[in-house]
Amino acid sequence: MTNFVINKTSFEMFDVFRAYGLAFLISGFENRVEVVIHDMGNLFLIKVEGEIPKKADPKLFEEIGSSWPLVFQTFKKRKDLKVKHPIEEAEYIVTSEYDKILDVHRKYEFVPVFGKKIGGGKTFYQTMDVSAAKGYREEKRDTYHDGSQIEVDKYSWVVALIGAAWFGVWPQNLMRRDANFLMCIVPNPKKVLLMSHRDVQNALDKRLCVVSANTSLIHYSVKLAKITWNKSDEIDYDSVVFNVMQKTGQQPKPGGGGKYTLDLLNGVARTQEGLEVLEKIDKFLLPTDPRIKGIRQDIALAVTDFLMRPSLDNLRRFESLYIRGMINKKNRFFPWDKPQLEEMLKYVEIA
Amino acid sequence: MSKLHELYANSAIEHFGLALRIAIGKRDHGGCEDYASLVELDYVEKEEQFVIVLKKFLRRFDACARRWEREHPGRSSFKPSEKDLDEVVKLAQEYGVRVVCAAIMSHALVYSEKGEKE
Repeated sequence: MTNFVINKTSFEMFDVFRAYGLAFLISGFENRVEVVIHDMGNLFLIKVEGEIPKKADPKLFEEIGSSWPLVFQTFKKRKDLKVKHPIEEAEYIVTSEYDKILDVHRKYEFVPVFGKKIGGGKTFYQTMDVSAAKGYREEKRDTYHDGSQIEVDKYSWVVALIGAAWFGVWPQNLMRRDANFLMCIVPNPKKVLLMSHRDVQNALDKRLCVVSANTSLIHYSVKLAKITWNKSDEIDYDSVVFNVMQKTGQQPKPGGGGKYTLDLLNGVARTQEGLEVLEKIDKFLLPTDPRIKGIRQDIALAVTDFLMRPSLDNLRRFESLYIRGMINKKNRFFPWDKPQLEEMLKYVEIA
Repeated sequence: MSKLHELYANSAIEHFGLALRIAIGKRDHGGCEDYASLVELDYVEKEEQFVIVLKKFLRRFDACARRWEREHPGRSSFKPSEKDLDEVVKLAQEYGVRVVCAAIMSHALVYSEKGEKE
């Protein structure tokens, strides 16, 4: 067994992408070796069972089935551009320095290097972590400028790119022209067998409730809890990391990000009634149609707030709206089964 | 397990919840469209107000039940008992009005009869 290390930085999404990216770089599409990612708190440990392949899988840079175009959406193509497109650069680094990438990640002391200018460093895109959009902190005097972009060493950059392109989840129904925000979601691997993770992500429906960034996040988390409840020996996610970007006429602007812990949803998914609750929330309470308005939208927001913070106030707001929805039969909000509601009430926090 | 879950299992709360469920139902389905009680229960915060709200609710519900009994001769309508009322007031003193109201409203969300399913 060979161990690889991804030391964590303060960029949560970047760290998770690096962990998935390095694991995928080693395993490739054909699962050449068995790869398990463990979250050890301060680092991700990647355990590889089997002989490490001699070179990277060339399919890693194919666009079909990946999110490569989305990862580079902040990259502006210009005719007079003298540098190569970043995907070509990434491919070049992976093919020419594959052994070096693996070597540096075998060392426990290797930590990504960030800075304004790094020898051989690459631009840290906001699609890899929204915090990157803040740029490098520097003094600005006399004239205004947007500030310099952050750079990161090329080895961390390339593994994070692979992770972002193949493991970042971009809700399908946010790809519409009229959607006003973009979102990238990725589950944090507490202990994950890479092969099973890919199966789960392929099976997961990427159409989410896009009323707001929170509804999308909760909808994804509900689907995740539903699909992984009986796979805890192979897949254990403890949270979901998310980044939000606001669409503008120009490049997307940073819109926030964070981590949503899955304790509540994983707890609910432990019982049959709980699974039925999740099914009801997924199928009826979080509609995927982005044009949804009125009581359906209000209930989607209320159930999202409740699942984000199961407080008494949030429950009361949800109950009140749901009863109003039930009164008009046209809304097609049906009463709950008693055991299902009982299951949900177990988690209400009363201050 | 949360306090709300304990309250939800209480029979007095269950009876008041069922009464609320019937009260907010459509007239064609034996309800009395008593949305005023729903709003009042939604906003009540103090014990004294809660007692008044329950009193008003029971008065409206009684009228609704009598109407139903007139339309269905020989059958008697469901009503929460006096013991239930005492118990609910006691629970409100013990757990707080907001928690008790949330528990009552939770019962109003569930199926009251068979055959009502989607």
